[in-house]
Amino acid sequence: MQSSASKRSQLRRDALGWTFMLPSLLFLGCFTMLPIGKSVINSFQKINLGKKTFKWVGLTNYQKVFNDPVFHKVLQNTFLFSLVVIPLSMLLGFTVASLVKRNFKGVGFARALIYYPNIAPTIGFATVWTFLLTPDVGFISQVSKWMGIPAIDYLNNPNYAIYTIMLVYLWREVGFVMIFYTSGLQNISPEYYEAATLDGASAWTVLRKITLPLVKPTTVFVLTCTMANSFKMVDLIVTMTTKGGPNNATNVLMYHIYQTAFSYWDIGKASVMTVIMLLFMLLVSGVQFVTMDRHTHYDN
Amino acid sequence: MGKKKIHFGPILLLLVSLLWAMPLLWALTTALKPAKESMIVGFSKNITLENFKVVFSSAPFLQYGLNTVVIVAGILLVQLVTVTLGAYALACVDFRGKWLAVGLIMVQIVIPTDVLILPNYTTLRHMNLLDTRLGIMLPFFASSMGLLLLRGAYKGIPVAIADAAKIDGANVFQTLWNVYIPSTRATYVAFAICSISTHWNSFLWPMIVINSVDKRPLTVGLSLFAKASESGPMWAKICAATLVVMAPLYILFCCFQNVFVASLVRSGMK
Repeated sequence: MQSSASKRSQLRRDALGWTFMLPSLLFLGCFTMLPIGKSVINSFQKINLGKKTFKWVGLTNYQKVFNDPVFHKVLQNTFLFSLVVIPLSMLLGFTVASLVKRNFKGVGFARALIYYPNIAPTIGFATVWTFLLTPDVGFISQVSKWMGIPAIDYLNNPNYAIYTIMLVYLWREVGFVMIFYTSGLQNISPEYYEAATLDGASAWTVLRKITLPLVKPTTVFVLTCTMANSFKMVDLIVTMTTKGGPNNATNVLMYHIYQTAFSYWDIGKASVMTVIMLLFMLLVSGVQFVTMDRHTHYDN
Repeated sequence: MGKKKIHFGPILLLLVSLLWAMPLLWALTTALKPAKESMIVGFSKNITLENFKVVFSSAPFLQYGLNTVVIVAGILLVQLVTVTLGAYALACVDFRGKWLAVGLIMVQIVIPTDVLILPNYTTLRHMNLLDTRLGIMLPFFASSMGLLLLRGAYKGIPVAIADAAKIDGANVFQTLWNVYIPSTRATYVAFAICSISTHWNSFLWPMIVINSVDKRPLTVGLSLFAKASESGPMWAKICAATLVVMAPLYILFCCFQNVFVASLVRSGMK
């Protein structure tokens, strides 16, 4: 009797639990799980969206993608972009955060000025940046002429274009990193620093032995966010360049997926690249798993 | 050493802030001067609001703004329901197979919806939802981030309080409404702020889904407005349009900076 009653109440809890999870799982299923499966399946198919026909083609799409010199260029750009942008945004974000963590007059204003690129529409400000970077008449060109530096067409020069995009990207990302490090730094008890000062520790030692270990949870979080953000970056390319140009110098993976899918309508190839993007995202989680200190809890 | 640093820090910070503010200042000065003076650096003596007028008369920015509000609010409202129910199940109901539910949720943490533009596009195509605002919203109705965030907050509520409500004869929904939701208000605010600021500025996905002019959100409208007019004299208008699109969210940010920042951090770090 007792056990059948407890069984019944367990069943009731099962029903309640799954019913309450259902709305979330329904949308996750349709727009996360299903698409992941669909990308994998479509990557082995030749698809005609108009005629709604598909044909299994084995690894043909993968061969096409990996033999495409543009794809090689795209991968190179994506890695170059991430390798430059991830450490720089973290370093600059951390530095700015250590400047704004103390409360003094105007610090809120400074934070708002460094953070605004994150709430401003990227589309608008990416366009403003293209104006600023316009050769001859743009603001940056005028300033560099005034300083006696020859003006360069930064966005249309294949040697500089991707670095120019990186700078604009950093302009946005540093504020994002700053927010998290500011809070991380503010959560460190001042007593640690007082003790270190009494012991006569140098600033470098304090940074290495106190600050960095104590903000490690923040660092792990920020690292995985900046990694994922850099792999996903696409809006600056759409707005500031002509189709990832000049000559694919700024074409990155997410943009190439978009281009292959919605300009060339090659669903098979675009699915292969989506699968590669999924692997990148798994890599991000792998990094998070490895670098996370399992004894550290995220709630401060 | 310590003293010297205190003087040095704010100066460096001032330089960084000015550098960061440069595009904003430039956009502001350009938007406020006559279009033919766009190329001249600095403020103009002839300050004018003409460019803002032109923006509103030459593109339906009010309609775009309305669309953005509908999309952002629609996503948020549905998310609040799915997330509240799911978080309650995860935090307070001891059901079998919870590990599976958590596993399924983690998939979206690992694979963000943004990278699934192609398969989600073909799904919407099958559902005949291309070129609809609902189509833009659908993929974001479930939020794993929100589920985990609220689950954490619900777990912090003493079981005794919930039990007391139960003894008073409250059903699950009444307990949620009277106990759980009011005592986790800060978490809801945090989640709402994250959701709003993400979807207010979302660009690529709406651009892919929407074709009709009257369904475009602000970001897509702004991008087409900018594309249509890249010559020098148009700079002033585009700057004005950018400021118009940015204003609502930025005002929200400046008024509630502390809540805003605390919310972002809270949603990221738990």
